[in-house]
Amino acid sequence: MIVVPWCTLILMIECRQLSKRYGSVQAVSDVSLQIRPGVVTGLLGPNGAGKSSLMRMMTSYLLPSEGTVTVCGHDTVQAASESRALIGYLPESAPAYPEMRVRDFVDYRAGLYGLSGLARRQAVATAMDRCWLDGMTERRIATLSKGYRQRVGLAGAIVHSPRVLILDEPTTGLDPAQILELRSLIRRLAAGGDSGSGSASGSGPGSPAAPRTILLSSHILAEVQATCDDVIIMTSGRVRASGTPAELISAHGQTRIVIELIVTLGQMPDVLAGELVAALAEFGSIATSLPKPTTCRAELLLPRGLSDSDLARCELAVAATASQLARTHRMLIGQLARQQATLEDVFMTVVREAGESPKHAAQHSERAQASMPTGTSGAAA
Amino acid sequence: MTALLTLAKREYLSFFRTPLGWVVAALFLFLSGLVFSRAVLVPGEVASLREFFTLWWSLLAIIAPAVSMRLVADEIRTGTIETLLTSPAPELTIALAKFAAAAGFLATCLLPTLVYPAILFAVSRPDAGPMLTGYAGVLLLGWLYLAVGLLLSSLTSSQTLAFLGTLFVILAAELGAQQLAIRLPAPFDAAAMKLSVSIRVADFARGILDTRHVLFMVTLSAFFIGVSACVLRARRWR
Repeated sequence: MIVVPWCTLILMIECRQLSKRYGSVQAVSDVSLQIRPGVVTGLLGPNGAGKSSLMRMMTSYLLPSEGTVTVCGHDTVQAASESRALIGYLPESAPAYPEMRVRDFVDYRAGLYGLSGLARRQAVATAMDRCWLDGMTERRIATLSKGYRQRVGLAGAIVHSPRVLILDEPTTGLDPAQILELRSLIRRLAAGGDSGSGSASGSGPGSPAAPRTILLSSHILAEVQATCDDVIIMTSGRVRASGTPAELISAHGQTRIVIELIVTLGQMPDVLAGELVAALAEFGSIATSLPKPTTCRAELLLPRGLSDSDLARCELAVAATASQLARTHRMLIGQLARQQATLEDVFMTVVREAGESPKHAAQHSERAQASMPTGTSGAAA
Repeated sequence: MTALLTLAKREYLSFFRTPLGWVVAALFLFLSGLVFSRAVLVPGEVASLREFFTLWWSLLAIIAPAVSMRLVADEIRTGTIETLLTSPAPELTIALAKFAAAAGFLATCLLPTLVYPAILFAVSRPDAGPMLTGYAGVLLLGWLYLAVGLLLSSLTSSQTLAFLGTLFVILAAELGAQQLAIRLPAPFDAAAMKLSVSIRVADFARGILDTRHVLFMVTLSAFFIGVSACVLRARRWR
C-alpha cells in the first residue's frame, strides 16, 4: 500500500478572485491561482506588477480587499495564526535588527514560531548551517554585508521548517556563487530534505518528510528558468500566464531564425535588407539591422504553435531562400541559425501583449542579464 | 507564551544593545538625582520622599515617551514589522510583549533610585510605607505613560513623531485636567480632578494605596495596549 502524506493531497496555496486596492490604486486584480505541494513556483513581473502585494496577502501581512487565500486549507483571514505558522517568509531586502547577533536573531525567529528547548537549539543550528552562517554566529547584523544579511533573513525564514516558503527577491545582494548555492538549497528544501529538527507546524503539514512548497519572486529570468517548476507572470496586478517553463515557451514563445549575410564592396546593404525582407516575409515577421557596414542581419520570428517537424521544414525553406539570395548577389552567409524561445522571450511577449510599457520589460530584461551568474543556462539576447 | 517571552526578551535587551537605552537611563537617573538633592536632601526637612514622588509625574512625562517611541515605530521604519506580523503571534501578544519590555526597562531604571531611600534610612528613621506606595504609584504612572507611548509609536514610522505625540498627549491630558479643575464649577471640577494623574500620584506619595487609583491606571493602560493591538491589526487592512 502506498502511503501518501495528507498534505500532498490538498493545494498548499490557493487564491480565489483575489484583489487588493490601496486607495484608488488597484495593486492586485482578480487573481486566482493554485500552487501544488513540493513545487517551486517563480513569480515574474515588471516593477509594480503586484508580486509583493500578492505574496504579502499569502502571508496575511496584508488582508485582501476581495477574494480569499488559503494555505494548506487554512484561510489567511479566518485562521490567520494557523496559516502563518505554516509559512516561512523572507521579505524583500531581508529586514533584521542591526543590533542583534546572528545567532540571537535566528533564535528569536525560532521563538516567534513557538520553538523551545532542545528543538529550538537544533533548529537554529540547522538553519544557520543551511544558510552558510557557521562562521558568523557571533557577528552583529549591522556589520554584515548585504549578502550575509540576506542569508540571515533566509535562516530566519526556514528555522521553523515551514511547509510553505515565500521568498521575495531572495537572491538580491548575493554573488553568483551564492546564487547557485541558494538555487541548490531551494531545490533541496522543495524535495523535503533539510527539514531540520524543529517544526513549529507540528503534526500533519509539518511532518519533516513532506515536500515543501516554495514561491519566489525574482527579476532574474534565467534563475527562475533554472530553479522553478512552475512560473507565474504578472503585470498590472493580473496573472497573464502560468505553467511550467516548457508550457509557457510552447504557448507564448516564438522560435526565431537569425540570418547574417556578408556584403561585398559596392553592394548596398540596405537594399539587400529590403530584398531579404521581401523574400522571407512569407515565413513570419522579420526585422533587419546592419550591425556592421558589411553585414546585413535579419531576425525571422516564426509563428507560434509550430510542431518540431514544421519548424525543421521552415528552417530548410528559409535556408534555401537565403542561399538563393546570396548566390544571386554573390554574398556569403555569415550565420544561419535557429534559436529556441526562452523564458525571457515569453516574458517580453506576455508583457507586451498585456499592454505594459516595453521599456519596463526591457529594463527587467537588462537587469536579468546583468545579474545572471556565471555558468547558468542564460537566456539568449 | 513562548512567542510573548521571546518578543519581550528581544525588546528588553534591545534597550541595552543600543545607545538610546543607556542615554535614557542616564538622563532618568540624572534628573531623579537632581530632584532628590533639591527637594528631599535638604537639611532640617522631614525625611520623606513625598515631594520626590509628587514631582516625578513631570519627569516620567519626558522619560516614558523616550522609552516608548521606538517600540513599534522602529519596526515600521526598518521593515522588521513585516516579519513580526507574518509570525503566528497575535497582535495583542505583540503589543503586550512590547509593553512588558518597556515596563521592565522602566522598572530597571528605577532600581538605582533605591539608593535614595537608603540614604534617608542611613541619616534618619523615615516611614517606609509611603515610600513603598510612592514607588508603586510611580511604576503605575510610568506604565500608563508607556502604554500611551506604545499606541503613538504604532501609529507612525517616525520615532521623533512618536516622542512628541506622546509628550503632547501626556501634557495636554494632565495640564488640561488641572485647568478644568480650576475653571469648571462644582461638581464638574471634582470630575476633572479625577482625570489628573499627578493628583493620584500625590495620594500614593502620601502613603495612600487607593484601589480606585490603581484601577484607573491599570484600566487605562490596558485600554491603550488594546488599542495598540487594534492599530497593528489595522495595518493589515491598508
